[in-house]
Amino acid sequence: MDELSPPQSTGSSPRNFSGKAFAEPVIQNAVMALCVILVMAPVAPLVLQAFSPVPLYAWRGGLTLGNFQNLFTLPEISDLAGNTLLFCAISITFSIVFGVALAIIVARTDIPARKLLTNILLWPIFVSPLVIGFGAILTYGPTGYVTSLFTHATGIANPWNIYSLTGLSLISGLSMAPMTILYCLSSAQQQDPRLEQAARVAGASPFRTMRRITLPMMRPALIFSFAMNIVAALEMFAIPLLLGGPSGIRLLTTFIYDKGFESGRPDYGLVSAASLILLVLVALLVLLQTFLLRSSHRFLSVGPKGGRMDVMGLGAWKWGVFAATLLYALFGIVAIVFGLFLRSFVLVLSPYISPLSVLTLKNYHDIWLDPTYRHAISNTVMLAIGGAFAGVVVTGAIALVAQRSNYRLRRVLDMMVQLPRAVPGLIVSLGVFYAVIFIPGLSLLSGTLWVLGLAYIVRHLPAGYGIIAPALLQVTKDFDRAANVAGARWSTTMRRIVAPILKPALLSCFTLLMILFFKEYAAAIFLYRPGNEVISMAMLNAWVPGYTGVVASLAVIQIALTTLLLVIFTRLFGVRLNG
Amino acid sequence: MADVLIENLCRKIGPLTILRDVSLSVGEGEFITLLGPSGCGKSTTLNALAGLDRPTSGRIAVGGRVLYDDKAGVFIEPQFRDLGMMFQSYALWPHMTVHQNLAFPLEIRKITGVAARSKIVEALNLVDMEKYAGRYPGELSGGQQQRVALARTLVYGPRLMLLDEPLSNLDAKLRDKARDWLRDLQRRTGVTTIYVTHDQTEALALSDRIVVMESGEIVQVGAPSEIYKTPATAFVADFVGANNIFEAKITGYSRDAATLVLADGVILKACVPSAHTVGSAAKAAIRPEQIIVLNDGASLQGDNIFEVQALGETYQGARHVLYFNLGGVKFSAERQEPIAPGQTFRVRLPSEAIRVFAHH
Repeated sequence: MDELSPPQSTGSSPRNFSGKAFAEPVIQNAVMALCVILVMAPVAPLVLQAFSPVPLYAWRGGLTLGNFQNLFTLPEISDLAGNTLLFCAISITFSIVFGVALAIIVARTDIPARKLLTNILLWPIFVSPLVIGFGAILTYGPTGYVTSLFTHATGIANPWNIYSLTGLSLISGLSMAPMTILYCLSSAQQQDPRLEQAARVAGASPFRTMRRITLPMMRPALIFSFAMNIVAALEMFAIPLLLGGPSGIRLLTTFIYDKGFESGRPDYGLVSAASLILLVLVALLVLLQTFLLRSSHRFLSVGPKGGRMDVMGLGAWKWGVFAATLLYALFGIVAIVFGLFLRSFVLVLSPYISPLSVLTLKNYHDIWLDPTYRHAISNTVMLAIGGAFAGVVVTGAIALVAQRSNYRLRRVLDMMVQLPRAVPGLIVSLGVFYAVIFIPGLSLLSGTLWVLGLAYIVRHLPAGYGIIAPALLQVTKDFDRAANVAGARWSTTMRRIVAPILKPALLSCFTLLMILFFKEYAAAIFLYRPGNEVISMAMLNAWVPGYTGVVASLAVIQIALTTLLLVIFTRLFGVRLNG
Repeated sequence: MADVLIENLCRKIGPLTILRDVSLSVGEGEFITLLGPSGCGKSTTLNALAGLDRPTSGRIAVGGRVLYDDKAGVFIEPQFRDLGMMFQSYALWPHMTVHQNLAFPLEIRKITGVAARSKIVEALNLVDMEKYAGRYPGELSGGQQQRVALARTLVYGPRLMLLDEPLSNLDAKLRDKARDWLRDLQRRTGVTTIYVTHDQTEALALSDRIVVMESGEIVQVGAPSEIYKTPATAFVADFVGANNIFEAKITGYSRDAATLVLADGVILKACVPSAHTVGSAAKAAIRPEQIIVLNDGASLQGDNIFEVQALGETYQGARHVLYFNLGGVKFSAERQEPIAPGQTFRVRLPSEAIRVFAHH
């Protein structure tokens, strides 16, 4: 290299666009507007309807508090509040007690088959409460196979009644427990085992250590799961509908559903007023949880990096604890899924007839022959894949503007996108339903998959954002700066540098949204019309006239497809879903 | 290549002043180092040059082109400044190969195909990394990443190269090598370079001129030897090279010499080039290597001779650093031989080696 001619000539004619690249604000404003529309579309019409004296389509201005007056003077209002409160207390207690205990057991003790048990215990996360509700009826209902076997063995008729407030609360608690386990699991796993060892060396027994060291150290996770459990309980809709409906037990959510579908002319004002109360309750809780977590995250102990997890020896208790965990997994999860499988392959399920003698594929054949069911399945798959794709694009764009630009409203955007966390699925459904009626032009979407896709995306926007935003925080901003200084503008930097680096997170987000969309039912409930049915809606519709076999088969198909998609994405694309 | 002109640059965040009236002129092809402790404003100055941070007021021009001027309302976005910047983290895009990393800035400048390839080969040759064009950044060692990052800033021939602590992520041995190599590269390319570091060794070895900064202000600008030999303030004396600093009071002042009294009454003579007031408080500084240490009893001529007991020593390979107590301050000196515990020495602090700084 005798002729040293550094590559320097390109700079000699500086690109003389001395001004701002004006495409950027246009894109950023568009993303902001999209987010506002998505978040506000379901909420704004609902709020307006709650204060409107007439249905929205006939609204000509004028506000009233009459809807709330009507609501609070209803004779059943005190029952409604009492039921909801009791329901929350029982289901949350069940979910927290079993969830926390199981999380600690599988994360921190030396019982055998911990990995397998963890997978089984977490698995119901991928299944909708609707499916769990059906499974519970087939298993523990008055004619459920476990109930029958129990009666057969002990001679006690009607040993329990799940069509009661306690029954439906316990089944709901069962469906909420996996969420508690998930939130507490990583917290339990991340703890520094030396803290516990120190307590043991100081002379504490394993249980004392757990009570005085392990549990207090998990406080942030406990607060978080407690708040999320209240939200989940307030939102819980499928199980109260299935189990409370026949016996006339109504909670806030099922009340909204019943009133919304009341024959003749539903009282929109009353429904909206009740929905608004639910919305405010959930929003307050989400706010409280955010506030509590902000002040408590600093005492999260992050364990030694890559260090070997030390488990706690339970000694003589080991096999007892193992048996208890196994029993929970068997009766709380395996039996229910097995009930669905069994029922889907037989004509009738009864202790007096051997299932082998009535073995059939007729249920699946019925589904195959009925275009409505075929439609429901293909619609669900399309909605899950297409909707998740759209969802990733929307959340990705929002995350990039909110976290990686100097857009002046980026903080507002960051908060805005998280708002739907406070909106229960049922309310999203109702709100989008009103929006379709109220906003001119949107009625074109009525009864299509698009309107369902819209509701699903709104409902799960925060979940998707919750995966992309933290991943984005891990990507150093030096990458953007380097591209910027090298001459790339914001949109180029996002498209060519940040988005490709973010690919694993985007894939995780896609997988999560796909699974959520697959199991979603509440957001679809008011938007369902013949033609845009999804599996969840088809199950509910088949349940009413008592096509139990078809319901069980649809549930099995939903479970199988979800599992298949999950396997494809976790194995083939190496997607990891942590939370 | 360009000359850089920074005039009265200020940066405030709320009540905090990060930069206060920073003015600096850099000649074409010059290697300038901004030196100072963390929080002194050196990185803010660099970011202001790159356009990554918008100053509160002032003016920046590179090669006659105004990049920032608050009065004229000019602020050129970073992507239009045509500068090269190398980050402390290197910021090599992990999803692109070395070749793609270098091709990206060229593509933005609409240089593709053969022209781009030859520029990339040329830039990689410059840093001896041509064999690694197909590798991803994750497959390179720290030193190799650093070279690629430098090649990426050079490939499009920027008018000015900004380096933000580029050697701080390398281990000590590699850092020494990379430093010499970087200096050599800058000489060969002749690109105007502004280098930010808190490491005085790097600053002394690399720079044509050093700019020492303290709490958002420039305290001294000068050639490395000038900064080392004649620090302008006690801060510079302390920050660049080791220094023993004594609190003192000026009791006498005549022509070029001053008499100082230290805390416990020790009297020190110093040659003072600038005027000081008698009776005022001051700081006196002397570098450890300029203190003459002899065994007790040896004959020693001149001023400022004291008899002191060694408090301890640190062995540093090439020399022994001894600690003494003088004027209520623990101070250090150097010598070749080890000491016996409690040994007494005769030390001389040559008056011409003592620098006196007035208290602010």
